[in-house]
Amino acid sequence: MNLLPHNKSLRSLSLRDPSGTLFEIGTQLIRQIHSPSSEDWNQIKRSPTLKKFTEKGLFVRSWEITDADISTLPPELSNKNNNATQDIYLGHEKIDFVNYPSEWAPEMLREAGLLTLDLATELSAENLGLKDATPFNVLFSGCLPVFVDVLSVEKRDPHNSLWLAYSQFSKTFVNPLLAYQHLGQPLYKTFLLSREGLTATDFYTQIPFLKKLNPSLFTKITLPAILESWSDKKLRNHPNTEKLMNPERAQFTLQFLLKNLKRSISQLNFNHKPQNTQFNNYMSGESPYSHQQFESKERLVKKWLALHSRKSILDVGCNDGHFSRIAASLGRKVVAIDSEVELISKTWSMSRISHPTLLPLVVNIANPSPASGWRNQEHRSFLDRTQGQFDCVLMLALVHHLLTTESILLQHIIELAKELTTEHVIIEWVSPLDPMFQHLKKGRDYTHLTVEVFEQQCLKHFTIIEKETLPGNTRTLYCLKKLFLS
Amino acid sequence: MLKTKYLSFEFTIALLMICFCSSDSFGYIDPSSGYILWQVLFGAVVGILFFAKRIWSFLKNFFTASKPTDSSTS
Repeated sequence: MNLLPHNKSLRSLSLRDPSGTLFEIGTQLIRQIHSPSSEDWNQIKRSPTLKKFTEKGLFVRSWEITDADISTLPPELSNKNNNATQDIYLGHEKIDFVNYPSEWAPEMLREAGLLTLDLATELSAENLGLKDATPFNVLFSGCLPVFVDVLSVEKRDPHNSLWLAYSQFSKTFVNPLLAYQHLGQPLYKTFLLSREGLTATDFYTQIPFLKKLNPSLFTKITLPAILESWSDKKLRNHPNTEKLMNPERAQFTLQFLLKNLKRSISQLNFNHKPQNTQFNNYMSGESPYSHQQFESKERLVKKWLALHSRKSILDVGCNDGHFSRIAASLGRKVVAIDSEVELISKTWSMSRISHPTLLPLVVNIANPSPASGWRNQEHRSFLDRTQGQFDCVLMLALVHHLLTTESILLQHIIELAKELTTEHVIIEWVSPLDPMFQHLKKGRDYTHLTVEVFEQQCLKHFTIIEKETLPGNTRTLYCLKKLFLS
Repeated sequence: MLKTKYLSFEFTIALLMICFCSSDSFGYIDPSSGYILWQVLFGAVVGILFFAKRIWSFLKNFFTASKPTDSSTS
């Protein structure tokens, strides 16, 4: 096997853990485990827990690269450090669409947290553990979380009852979930501000006195914040990170801590508050469609989705994911985005069992996730990640919202559609005469935006394969094919 | 009574450890002193449960073992 096309670009994807580096070489993911961590790997790879989680699809599939194939790796990778001869190289299965916690619904962050805790609990019985516990160790493959950071697993001192990653778990899982529940702070606000999440001290300062005594916040926020402040003022040194005791008691204490965390995040109930009432749920009584209109729309979308052998679909402005589920049920991989957390929570909850290939994400297409992290290179921007990924893009009942609420010009919306797709776009034009458009325009004049103007803009970048006006004459659906000369 | 004594002993040890001991760990993430202290105190409370569980299993085994079982004769 020739791993490497030497001419392919090599990009380092991990920057923080000194025990190894993850590289992207062309379309392949290669992880280099540096010595001495490579010696531990030989024990870790035999872990029955890792085998079990891998078989269930919850731990990333990996394989060791043989000596013969190592010689085909790019020289800059194999000479990365002086002890490279003792390094181990792993190949990893790629997740279709990379996604970050700032784009998840709270239920997804909780699911990733439960996976992390389950893994830590089961590993502890084998004297293994997780050295870090951040949601960036988890990616969603469709609706299912996959633990992808192989190097997070390490040997554990059986005498030590402390979990050093507890603080990181609290800051990046527990506190952001509690902040969503108690402060209504969405995850994108937490994680775009800091990839390290939310400290107990920062949370503590944002809640009123009585809430500090709330049983669910007292042990998770109030006490750690008070202890943190006390230790900063009173202690000269950082407290000992080892609390040694007999292994049986250490194991009992650690597992009790992990179970306590699991119970506390499992019990969280998220009372979603709609952020924007102008977006109506297709299925609710407030739907802007008549029954007849909706049936026609559904029929057309189904027909156009089935027409071509499309593999991956991006549903922009997916609402409650109705059309995303139709695409997923046709065997397509679907990424469904919407700016409303409530709708993405609903889409994830409705799809996780029945449509596992559907990945719902909280992304506002008018202000998509930016590149972030170290040198703005650690986490790629949403638009960068979409490049070349989707052969069909759905933009249903979206254009009029972008025109009015976001004040984006029509030509830019069509240009974005061209950039997002490699082949087709299924797009809905809502005329300014439509009651929903009338509601959104708030006194502004959009009468110049006729269906002819819309088609002219589309024809700059696409050919119109088929179009059909829905009953009522204010909404028209188009199936467009991208022009490759534009 | 035993529990109260044990609790105060554990907390004293925990606080002594907090105040006079320190060590560097090999992890690359910040373990955060507040959360370490919280874990030490949490561990002290869980320690009581651990010993209570041990005493319970000891008593259970003691009384179960003292009863003759039919299965050994069959």
